[in-house]
Amino acid sequence: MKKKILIVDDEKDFAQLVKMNLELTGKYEVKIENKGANALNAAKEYKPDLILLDIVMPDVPGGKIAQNLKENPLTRDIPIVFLTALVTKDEVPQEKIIAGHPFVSKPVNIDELIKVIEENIKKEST
Amino acid sequence: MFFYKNLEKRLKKLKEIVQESFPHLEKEKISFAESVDYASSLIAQLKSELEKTQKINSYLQRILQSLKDILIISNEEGKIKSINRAGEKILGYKEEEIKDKSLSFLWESESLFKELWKKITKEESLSEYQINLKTKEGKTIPFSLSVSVIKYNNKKEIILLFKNMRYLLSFTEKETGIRHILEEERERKEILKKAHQEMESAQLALLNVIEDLIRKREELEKTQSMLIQAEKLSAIGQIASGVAHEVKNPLGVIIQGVDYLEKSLSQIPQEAKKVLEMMRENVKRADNIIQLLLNYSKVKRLDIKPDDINSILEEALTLVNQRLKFENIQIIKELHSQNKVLVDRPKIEQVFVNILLNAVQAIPYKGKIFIRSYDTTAKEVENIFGEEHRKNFEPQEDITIAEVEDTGIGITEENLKKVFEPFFTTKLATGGAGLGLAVSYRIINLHKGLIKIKSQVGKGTKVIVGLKVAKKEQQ
Repeated sequence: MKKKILIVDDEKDFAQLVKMNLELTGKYEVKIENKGANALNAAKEYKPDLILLDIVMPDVPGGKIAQNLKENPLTRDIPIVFLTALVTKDEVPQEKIIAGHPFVSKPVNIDELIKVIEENIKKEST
Repeated sequence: MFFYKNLEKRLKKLKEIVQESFPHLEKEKISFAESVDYASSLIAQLKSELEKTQKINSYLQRILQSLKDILIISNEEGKIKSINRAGEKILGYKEEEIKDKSLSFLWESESLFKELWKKITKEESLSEYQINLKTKEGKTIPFSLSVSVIKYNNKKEIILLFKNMRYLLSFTEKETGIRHILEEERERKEILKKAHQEMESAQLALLNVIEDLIRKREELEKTQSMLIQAEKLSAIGQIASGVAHEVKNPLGVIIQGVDYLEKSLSQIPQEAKKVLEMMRENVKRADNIIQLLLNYSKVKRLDIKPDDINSILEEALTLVNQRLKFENIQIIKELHSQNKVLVDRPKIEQVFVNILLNAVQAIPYKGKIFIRSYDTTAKEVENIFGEEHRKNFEPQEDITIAEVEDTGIGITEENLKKVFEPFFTTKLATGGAGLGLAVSYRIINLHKGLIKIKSQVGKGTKVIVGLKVAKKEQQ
């Protein structure tokens, strides 16, 4: 059974190419949400095995979304991998939120990204 | 008859006197009566002559007495015969007190008087002879003595004129005045000399102040240039963050696109594969530059721990070796430091990677790179770092030096001034961003250490890094 990945990123091209690359492996089913504000609902609805979450977004910042996801019983067990153009932890405004979540810096190639996904994805759903 | 005879005798006598006194009368014939008449008239004549003489005498006397100078007349032996009033007044003696006394008692000493008297009797004149006379009150007054000798009744009389003191006194006064003026002059000279000395020392002090000012200005200029650097940095930081986002997303798209093309196409022509690989490499390069920019602007906090500089240098060398091959470069390690340095290891490693990369790139074909470490004190390396070293080190502070020296092309004097400036590079053609040394400088400064570059064109370059040493209990 394919793993479900939710990508929350306002960068449509990037999200689309990551989706294409992940689906190309045949192992993943991917949904994209371009609006941060819709991230929680999308997660509740889609029930992904992992969320790839952008940090800097125009409406709701990724850190806040992560916090909401962790506070909601329906979504709190979903692993989150931050995917961001920010480079160091110094740059991340909500350091506490990012702490404890893995961190992948753009531009990332697909093999590296899959490696991180595999390390963090929910194991029990397999 | 007796009377007559007597009278005749007296007249005869008188006649003799008259004949003696008035020889021209002798030849004239005179009768007795005539004689008597004549005698009477002679007596009257004599009387009037006498009166005249007395008048002249008293006139002379008055002149003498009115003299302000002392006039003493003595005999040949020096016994006082008379003294004028000025003499009495100045010396304090009455004439009768000193008459017939030897002049010597007025002199300061008997021997001085004898000496002078010998001179007087021999030369019979003397002028402006400086002597001192004693007054009755015991005062000593200086005189200028002039002496002349006259003969009177076949006896020598010595006339001594002691020139009145007023002139001499006023001269002395003048002299005193002059002495005062001279003294004042001397004092003035002394004051001038002192003032001059003070001025000299003031000038020296001024020079010191000026030197100090120049030094301060240099420091200020340095601080200013550092501030400008810092401002540049913060501007770069802001730009870098923005650029990072704006550029990293498109770069991400390109990478993901390349990945997709490579993986989705079952058969990719060899040429196309090469193109995709070039795209991937150049995305990496662009990303590296952004990474450098971010590192440069974001280095703010350090995680400082005591660490071993030798192993840091070794590791930096290994990292450089992975990126660049240098078969023709001989690496000579002289790692003697025993101290632990206070460093943020990954950041200091980055510094030495940058320095070693530069060293390798500076060697065109074949050469040597020396990597050294040793322990010293700040004082001993003062001349290396100059003024700057006081900023971060105490003179007696233990420090560790890490050095990288190459036998490469060297850096021109002009470029040497700019090597720490961000974006200064001579390697544009080979993709240098001009940030390596700027980042290194910043990192070393955050460590409160110092970095100095010495270079000679055609001979090579030496980069010297001074680092703080962990205290014994920290080691």
